[in-house]
Amino acid sequence: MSCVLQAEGLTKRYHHAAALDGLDLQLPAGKIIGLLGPNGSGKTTFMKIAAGLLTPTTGQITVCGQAIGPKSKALVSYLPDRNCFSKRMKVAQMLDCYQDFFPDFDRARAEDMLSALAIDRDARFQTLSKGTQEKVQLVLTMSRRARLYLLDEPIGGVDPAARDYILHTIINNYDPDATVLISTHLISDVERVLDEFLFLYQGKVIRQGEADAAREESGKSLDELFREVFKCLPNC
Amino acid sequence: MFTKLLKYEWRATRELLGILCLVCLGASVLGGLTMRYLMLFDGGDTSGNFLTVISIFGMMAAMFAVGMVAVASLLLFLGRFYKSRFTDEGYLTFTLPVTTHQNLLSSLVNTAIGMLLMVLVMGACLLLWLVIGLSGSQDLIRLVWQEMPQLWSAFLEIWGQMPWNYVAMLGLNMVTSAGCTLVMLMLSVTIGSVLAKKHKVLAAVGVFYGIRVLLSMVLGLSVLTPILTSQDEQLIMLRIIRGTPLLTTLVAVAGYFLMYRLVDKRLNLN
Repeated sequence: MSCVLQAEGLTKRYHHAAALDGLDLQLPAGKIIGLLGPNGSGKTTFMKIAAGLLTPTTGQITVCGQAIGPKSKALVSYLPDRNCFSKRMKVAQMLDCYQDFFPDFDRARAEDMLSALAIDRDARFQTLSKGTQEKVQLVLTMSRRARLYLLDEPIGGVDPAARDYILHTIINNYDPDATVLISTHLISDVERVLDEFLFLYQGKVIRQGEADAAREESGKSLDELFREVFKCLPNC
Repeated sequence: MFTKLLKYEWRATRELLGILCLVCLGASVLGGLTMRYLMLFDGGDTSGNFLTVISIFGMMAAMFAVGMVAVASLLLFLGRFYKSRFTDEGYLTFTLPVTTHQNLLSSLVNTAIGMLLMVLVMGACLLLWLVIGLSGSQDLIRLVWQEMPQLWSAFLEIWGQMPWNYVAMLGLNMVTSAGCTLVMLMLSVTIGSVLAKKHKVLAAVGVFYGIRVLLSMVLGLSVLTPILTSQDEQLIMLRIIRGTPLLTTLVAVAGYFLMYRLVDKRLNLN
């Protein structure tokens, strides 16, 4: 199976603290993968490096064989854990922006999703509720035909009903050859959509595998497994 | 992609720039009207006249507004640079499929174009100020009109004797100094944002003043060196006028690459 993302010896240090510590990772194509770990385990740092927002201290990372740069950024659709649009922008202007910069952006798909969510395209971003702002960003992210989707806490700020819609959106809108990497604490909500999982702790992968196999093997859900694994570790 | 970035930079600043232009226009009209009123009553007994006091205050307010427009337009562009690169908006800006050079240069070029536009608008507004202010002074206009042939011939005389190479070098000095100041301002914002953990704007202001002091010392040395090493006044002037643009250009280029390095390697949006 082809590999969408490959990281070798990836380390990121902030002064003396290592957010990522020699991380080796390969993400296969066509999977939805959960990047799971306690606070400070390096999930967001890893996503930011893959998205091109941070430079690793040492190590290599490639997306579809491309080193991080404009070419890799054209292949990665990144949803940060915060609002990244100017509050004065209208939703339609945000669509224009994505259409201008990302050749793989499917505007028709985005407009369909916005209609399904009853989001007004003429509304300014600042007038939308926090949950709706997150939905708009998710719609934009998932409307790209990217090779790798990096979703950092995509359901963190929305109500349970909206979570279902978001997960439904993720499952139905990614290309079969693409990979979706979801970072979240709300494991019980996302685990039903995950093909694989990665447990990250202190910048290292401590456990990874197929979600179904792990559930079968342990007789527990991923959420229970997460609680069990991280309960034993110090500083959790 | 660069032109698209430029387009978005321009779109993000044009509304506020338009408002600033309108403020400048309004201030010029106010300044012109108050100037006209004061010139019409010139020589008359206007002491204690309420309208005269109001006109003086109006004129001062207009001058202040025009000055503030110049400062505000620069702050507008620097604010845009800071917000779109070093706050949450940077999460979008730096994940666009563009190079860091394109990212930085689009902001630099947009700021340069915007500031040039503001200089032109302010020049036009000041002209309007004078036209309105002097339109009531028929005697003055008549006098200027009568003296026009003489003024024109005097101008041609100066024009003919103008040391054009010096004028061109002075123009180049102005352009390179403005460009260098702009790069230093953006570099200060970058250093403040990338290296300071808290009070990033305050850090940027501090860094800018530090850079200015350092730059003044270097420029001072570059001016002092030809004075100390030569006796020929013309040669000294020529060396200063030729050396300064070269130095400011070098400083601007070095500042740009430092800014590039910081953004490319040390960027950490939180």
